[in-house]
Amino acid sequence: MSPVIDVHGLSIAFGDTVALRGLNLEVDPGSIFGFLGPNGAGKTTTIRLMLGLLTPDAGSCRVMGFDATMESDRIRAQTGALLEHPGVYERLTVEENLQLFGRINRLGGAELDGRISEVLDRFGLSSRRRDRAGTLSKGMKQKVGIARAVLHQPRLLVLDEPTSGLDPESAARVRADLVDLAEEGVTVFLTTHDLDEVERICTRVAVVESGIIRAEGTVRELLARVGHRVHRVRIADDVPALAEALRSWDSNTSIAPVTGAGPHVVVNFEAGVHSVPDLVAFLVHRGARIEEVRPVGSELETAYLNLLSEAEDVA
Amino acid sequence: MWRDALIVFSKEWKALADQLGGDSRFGLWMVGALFVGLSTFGAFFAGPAWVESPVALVNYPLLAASIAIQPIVDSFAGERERHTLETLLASRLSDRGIVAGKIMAAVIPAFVAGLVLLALGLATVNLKHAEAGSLILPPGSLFWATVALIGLLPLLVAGAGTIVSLNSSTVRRAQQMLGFAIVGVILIPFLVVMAAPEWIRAELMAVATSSDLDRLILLALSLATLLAVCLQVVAVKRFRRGRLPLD
Ligand SMILES: Nc1ncnc2c1ncn2[C@@H]1O[C@H](COP(=O)(O)OP(=O)(O)O)[C@@H](O)[C@H]1O
Ligand SMILES: [Mg+2]
Repeated sequence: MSPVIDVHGLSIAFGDTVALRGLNLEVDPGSIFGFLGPNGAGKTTTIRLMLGLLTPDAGSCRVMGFDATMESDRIRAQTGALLEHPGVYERLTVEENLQLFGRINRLGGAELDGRISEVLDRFGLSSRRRDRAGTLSKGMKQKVGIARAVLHQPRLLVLDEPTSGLDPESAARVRADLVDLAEEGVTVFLTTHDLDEVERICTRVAVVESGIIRAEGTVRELLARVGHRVHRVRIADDVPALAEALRSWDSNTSIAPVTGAGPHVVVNFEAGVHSVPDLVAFLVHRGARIEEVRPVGSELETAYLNLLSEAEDVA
Repeated sequence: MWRDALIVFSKEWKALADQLGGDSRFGLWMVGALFVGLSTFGAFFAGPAWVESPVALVNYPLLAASIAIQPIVDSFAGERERHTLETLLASRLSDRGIVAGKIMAAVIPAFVAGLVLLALGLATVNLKHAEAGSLILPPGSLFWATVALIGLLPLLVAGAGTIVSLNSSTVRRAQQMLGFAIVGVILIPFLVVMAAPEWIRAELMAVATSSDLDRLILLALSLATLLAVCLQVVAVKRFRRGRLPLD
């Protein structure tokens, strides 16, 4: 199967700022592709190039087989997009916003009305249908933006940080919808810095940083490559001289008192020389009463942060 | 293209309708009242000369052109400022459809308003001088030329305004730039004429004051048409999707 998005050596600079330096990407049909990276990594720029809203300095970008510089109109005709800003017209009502983009995408009449009701329902916007979009909260506008992007049932959905600004419930709903759409065969390309999101729904992920791909693969592959686990162990009461003992046992540990309820300490631990069971055995042997052993953040987050620090080391 | 243009046009129209009933409605209605005043006041005092002389009838195309300024300045710079431009550009609307829709959204209301104001002016003169017994109307060629200019002048402003608005980061900047451009268009020919040799000036004076009104009308119409067409062409050419500032 030929890739839906095929990017080769894509480069662009804005004056002295190099935003992308030879980006390579391949996105397969029907996948949910997570484009992960910190602020300023080049995620938004990549999306703009894919839709023909910027012209690259070098490299090629093909989307659904069409060149993003020469045939971008063909790409836009089959894509639904939610960009950096939700792009909702504040002076129009929610319904008028959707009608506008439905007509732009050649929908009309009863078909359009039906689709509008469907997406409004799906995103919990039915009660705001006749309200001016300017009166909606940021999260609501974001939802209108997503509703608009899926309205005409495009083959490809391009979403720039779709769940940022949404409450957890709405974010979960959007993620579930993206999974449904992917099952229907829609390809979803989304940028995010929410690792949890990537771990939950993305079939593949690329980590971008300073305009270059640092890692690419399935979430599992990425974890295997760089996954070190950070754990936090909570101990009731302070154990005398524990800090010194820990430090000489494994330099990848640190200890900190817990402010708040009663005398507690927390041991931060990164697996490497020793494993988590080693640590627990060591602590118990020292007479510590362990209350909780918990991984910090998600595994992917650790992997991601490791990747970024590796990138920094290289730079 | 025209299908897309109509979609863009109707969107602008809806947004305007919302504004007419929205927070800024007082200001808008005041401006409307001012325009009505401008088009009836002169007619009331000048009498039949108001409609029969060419100078007074230049008035209505100018009023129409000034009505087109705000919407056209807002066309791209406003969308950029309100962060909707990128989404519009990412849609399947065609390049020409977008430009044509934006220009139509400025020109059509200005044209219609210009005709209404002209009608108001004519009505004022005729009501004031009802004793004349017959209708007071401008000479035929002058009337139709005025109607044409009420369409052409806003079109000219809309072409220039699109070019300016396409690359302005804010509406304010676009307003300033268009202001300079308009002053330039008026001032430069004036300065050129002032600096021209004596005989050319004499010749021009002869044409301007000649009783050959039709020749004057023809000159004005062809000049306005030429400029308007050129500006539309430049506006369409300047709209390059992959090169516009998005924010
Ligand atoms: N129009 C622009 N002009 C100047 N610099 C830009 C422009 N667009 C993006 N950049 C720069 O390019 C880099 C990548 O930006 P962006 O793609 O928005 O990152 P991300 O979306 O990953 O946060 C940043 O350093 C940003 O400042
Ligand atoms: Mg971004």
